[in-house]
Amino acid sequence: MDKLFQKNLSDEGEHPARETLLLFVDGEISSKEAAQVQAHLEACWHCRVRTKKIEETIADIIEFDEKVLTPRLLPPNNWRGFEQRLGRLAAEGGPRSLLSKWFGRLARLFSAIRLSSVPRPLVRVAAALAVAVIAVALAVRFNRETVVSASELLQKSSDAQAARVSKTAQPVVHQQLIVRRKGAALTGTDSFNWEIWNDTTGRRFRQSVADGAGRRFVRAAAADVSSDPEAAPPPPVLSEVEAVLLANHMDPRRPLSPTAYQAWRNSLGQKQDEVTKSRSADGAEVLILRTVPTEPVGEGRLAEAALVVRSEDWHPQELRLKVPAEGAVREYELVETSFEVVSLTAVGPEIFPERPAEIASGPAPGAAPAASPSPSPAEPVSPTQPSRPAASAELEMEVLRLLSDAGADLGEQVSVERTPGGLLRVAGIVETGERKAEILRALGPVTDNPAVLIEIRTVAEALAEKKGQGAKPATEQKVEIQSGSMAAESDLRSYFGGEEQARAFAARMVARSRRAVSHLYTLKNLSTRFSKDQLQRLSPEARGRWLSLLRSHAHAYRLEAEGLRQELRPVFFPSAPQGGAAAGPTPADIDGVVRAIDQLFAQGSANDRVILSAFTTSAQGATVTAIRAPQFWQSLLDAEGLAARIESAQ
Amino acid sequence: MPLQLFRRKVATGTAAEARGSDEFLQPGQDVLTLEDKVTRYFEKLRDPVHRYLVAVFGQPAEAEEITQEAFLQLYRTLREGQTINNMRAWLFRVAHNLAVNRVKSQQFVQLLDDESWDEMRLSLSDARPNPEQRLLEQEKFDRLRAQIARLTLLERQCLHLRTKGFRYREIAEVTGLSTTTVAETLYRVIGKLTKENNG
Repeated sequence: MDKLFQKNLSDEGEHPARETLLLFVDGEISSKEAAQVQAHLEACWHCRVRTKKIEETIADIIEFDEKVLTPRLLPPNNWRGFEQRLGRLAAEGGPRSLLSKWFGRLARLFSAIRLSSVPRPLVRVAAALAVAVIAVALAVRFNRETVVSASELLQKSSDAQAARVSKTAQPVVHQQLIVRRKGAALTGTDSFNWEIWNDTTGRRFRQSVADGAGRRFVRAAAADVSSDPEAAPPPPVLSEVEAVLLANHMDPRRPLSPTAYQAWRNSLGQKQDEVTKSRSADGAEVLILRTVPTEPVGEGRLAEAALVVRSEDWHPQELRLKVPAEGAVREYELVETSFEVVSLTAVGPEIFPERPAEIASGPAPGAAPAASPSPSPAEPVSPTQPSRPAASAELEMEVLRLLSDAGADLGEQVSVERTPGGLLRVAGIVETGERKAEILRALGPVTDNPAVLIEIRTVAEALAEKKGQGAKPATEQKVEIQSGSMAAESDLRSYFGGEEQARAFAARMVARSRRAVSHLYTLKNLSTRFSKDQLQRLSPEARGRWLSLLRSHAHAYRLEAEGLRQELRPVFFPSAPQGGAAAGPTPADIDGVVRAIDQLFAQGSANDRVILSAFTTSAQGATVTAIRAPQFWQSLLDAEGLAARIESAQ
Repeated sequence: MPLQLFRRKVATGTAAEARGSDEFLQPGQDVLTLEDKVTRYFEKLRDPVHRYLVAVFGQPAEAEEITQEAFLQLYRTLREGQTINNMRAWLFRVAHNLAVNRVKSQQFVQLLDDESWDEMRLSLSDARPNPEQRLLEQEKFDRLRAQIARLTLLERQCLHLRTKGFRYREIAEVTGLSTTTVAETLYRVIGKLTKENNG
């Protein structure tokens, strides 16, 4: 380079070469040469203009770099995976022990202190103390049991429940529980035995209670006398529990349902979960999931809930609820004492007087099944024929359609059940009077039908009924809750650059996934609501309505799922193509539609689980999630494709 | 000092030599673990390295992967106790070499696809209230985009390293060229990117 300059600069009377001017501008020539060029520029207008042009070009390049390139040449995967790769690399070279990590932290702590200025004995004492702290910390750490996240626990428990039910043909879930209102004496109406029968095939429900007043069948609190004329009114505490469960997205007919617990959790904005291990009264190991909303809750809403699950088989055993009411906190405990899944044929007619297949076509010629777990002989309940006509399947279809039109067929807001007498009961507790009026208006065409019982109440109405029934305030216990983190937290934080946006995105994804799943549940319910025979006996018009409902929910699901996928794409699958899923062949018949719904339900539920595991908080700070896996992306596409197939069904 | 036992101090050159070496670390961070140190360097230097790779070689996803690999290589090197005098130039050189090995073809690299380009132009429209200024700026950037796209791989390398603030000898170190070649190349680049050169 030196030669290059000398050649040009030694040429007296000549101008410096343009290359030399660039070197001059860039400060890449010696100070002696720079002085020569500078002297020349002062004298030479031509070279001053040339130099200015070089500087203008440089200015343009820098402006282009700063305004155009720097903001846009972004890493498509947002540096995902580096920490893991570095961690793996560090582990290859010999994993750092827990002790060394503690020493590392200790070293950082001490780095702020000038040890040379500290008296030597003090340093020794501090070091001894530090070692003691480490020893205690390690002991605590090793003694601490590893427990699952809230979502995992609920999912495993839900799966275990489903597996148990699926092993029996025409399963009826029979549960016995003790219900207590805590903080009060465990006598009288504050504690009673509760027995439940759920006919999962025929969608029928029966319950009895045993307390100081004896054992008897009782109506669900939301039902009127005519729905189950032989049943007594429920005791006040059961009515309270039912109202609390309904107002919190839970299910009074499946009070310990992990799915219902999850529905409540998902309805919360900010919350904290804690999963701990413990022992039940009989010595069995249990996991306790405790969830506390961290935002203020309204009247009737849960301030805290806990679900106790048996570690051995994930069976839910107990539900604890805390509800603010009238300036105090009411506590309820629902403890399961027995659980069995029996075949419908083993359940006596006093529980379910008619077979479900007979409901649509009227009362059955009395084929009496085998013996049943009946209520106490001291309180015999004689089955009576319904005083009203049984509802037809067409009528049931019409009610479902009307509810769907009002948007009341999603989730557990409003239920449509058969009473033991074959009537159709539409029951639910809704948020506001406006919503109640809306649903009643929608049900207008069937309001006067004697086979339909409508029991829609607002939360305030349900609670007002319970006032003055001896509810005693209980003392709230102090609860310490660990702060949670979500599995995809680091991905979201690094993508969005801040916790607030990451949390908002996660909440949006969970809400969207839950909305999608609510359509799935409705689809599944609709597809299993009628037997194949019933569907074939349905009038073409009613069958058309049924299909139309299926299509509309499949469509709604697909829109939610597509929206979800599009939002997830830039964060987790930036290189995935923008296009959506291809729909498969149109189902040829009703069987094909039902099969497609089964597949969609399985696939969509699995996708929802991935979303929940990634975006819901867990006290254990889980980091493993399938949300980044290409298989999950494919699964999202597959679910959309299945939904599109159902949409095309004729 | 007993606490020295807990340190895993990274060997570095003198402060004067180590331009870019520890300049990104805050006071009191000299006792960071090696992983922590590399993570800090990664957080500070990954974006310029990545932008250089994309601007020169294209392929943003591969550039991101190569950038990560360069920092993992940094970890390996420091773990072996080797000294790195100019951290920034070292990282660019490693990333550059990895890219050269992987991106064999010296393909045409378009800076930003057409869609991103249109978005950029729109954002400029918002930023400049004066229509004439907007037009001039858009023309200038359109011209530069086209001119840069016509540069050779070598020219792109020298240009983008120079815009990152590297001196000629550092560019030579990163690219493996001689300082003279770097000077000649940069001179050519300036010539190609002047306003008058629309060819």
